[in-house]
Amino acid sequence: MSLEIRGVSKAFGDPPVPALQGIDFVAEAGTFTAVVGASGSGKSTLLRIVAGMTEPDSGQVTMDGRSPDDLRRGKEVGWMAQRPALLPWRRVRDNVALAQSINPRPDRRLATPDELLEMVGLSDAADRYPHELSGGMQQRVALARTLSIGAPLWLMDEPFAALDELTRETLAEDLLAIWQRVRSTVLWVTHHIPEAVTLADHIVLLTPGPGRVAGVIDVDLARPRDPTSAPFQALVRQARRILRGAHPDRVVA
Amino acid sequence: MKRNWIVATGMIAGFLAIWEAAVRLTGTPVYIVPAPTDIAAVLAEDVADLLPAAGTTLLQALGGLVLGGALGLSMAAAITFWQQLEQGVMSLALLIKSTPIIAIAPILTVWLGFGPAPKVVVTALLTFFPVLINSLEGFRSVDPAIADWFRSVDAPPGQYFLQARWPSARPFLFAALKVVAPLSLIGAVVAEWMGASSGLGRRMWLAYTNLDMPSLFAAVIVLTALSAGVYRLVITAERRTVHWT
Repeated sequence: MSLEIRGVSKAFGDPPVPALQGIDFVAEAGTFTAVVGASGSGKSTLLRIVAGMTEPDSGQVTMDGRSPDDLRRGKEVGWMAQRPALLPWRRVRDNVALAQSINPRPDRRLATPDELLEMVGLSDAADRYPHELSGGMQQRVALARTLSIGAPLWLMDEPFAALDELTRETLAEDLLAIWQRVRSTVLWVTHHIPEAVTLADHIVLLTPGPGRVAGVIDVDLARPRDPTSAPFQALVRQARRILRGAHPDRVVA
Repeated sequence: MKRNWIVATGMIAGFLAIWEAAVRLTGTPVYIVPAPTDIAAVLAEDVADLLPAAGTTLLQALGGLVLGGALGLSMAAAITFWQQLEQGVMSLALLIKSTPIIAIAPILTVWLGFGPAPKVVVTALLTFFPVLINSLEGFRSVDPAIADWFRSVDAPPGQYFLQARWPSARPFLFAALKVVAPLSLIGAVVAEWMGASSGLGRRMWLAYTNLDMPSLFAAVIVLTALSAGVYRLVITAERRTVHWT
């Protein structure tokens, strides 16, 4: 399923303050696209528009001709946010199972919650409550829950941003391993350029508020990628150059 | 923990000893302030009458609590589904809250008689508003990140209510219950004062009109114990059902 974002603009407030202006790009089916920009560049707004949670003022988002609302109704969107948003009153297994029990899609062959927890390395935590887990483990549960509906589109809003660097790297590796098996289309929002180069096939760079597409970088490196390698560093520098050019007084990691 | 109990028991015993000594030494008449031993004697003597009276009051209080709580909870739920109801329901609720219950208790007795009905209604009126307000707040307290996730899977409103709103509201509901459960006993007793054939309020009223202070104090002590017991029950239920906070 390829995702087309055509001329999407959005403003908030009165008088309207533009958050996004004329965003235009395509994420091909089964590719991993990172959207990178500084705070206030409208990355999260863009993701919410794609998820059908926010209406754009103009432009449109389609996936194989279908609107974001159609995708949501068909449970074709796997959503993962910065905070794991697990239900604290349900055990880990029940959190993962919940996504399947809501609005079920019997036509889709899905892994069981226990299989998913095994996939994210949390078989032993199935009967625990979320508050008994570390932040990294909670995000693993959230990942299992995202995978549980077998959605062909994953929308991920800086899901590992609140974690320490080591946990973040481990989770990113695990996510990539799972994604390479499943090959859903991924739209990944981050402000961290090296993370985008590590994970993505394409990087869409947004200017700081209002967000416009400052440039697109194709990451043509084999996985797993070595952050110390010269081509990797060159891509990071290229992304920084584009973003600095778009707004010289902002610093992007 | 054990030491806290010893300290608390010691303080209560000390207070009772000072009270007893003050009454005895000053020769205060029993119809003004009875000594703790006078009250204890009445408690022991009248236990066979006090317990059924306490049972009557408790049942009426619980009846009112369940009625007022169910009304408050269901109206709060209705508002979360149909927001256009909010203004009407809240205006009515504020009207009920602003009405002095002590003033309408006699009217209810005239309308509904000396049986349990006016007591249940008075208690329900007392408990309705706090449960409504807290439940509404609770239903609306769903973590925005959790709400987003439910939207992402296009959860139907009923499932969202049961899986997200209702559990989110439980801590708020228990906060209300901690206030209204003991209050429901006060409501029932106040209604019994206005006219009843049984109950702790009835016994208090009789003792008051006869200047029988030991009996009045005995009824107050039973009421206090009931109130503390009900509060304890709410705390225990909260610990079991809101284990994640």
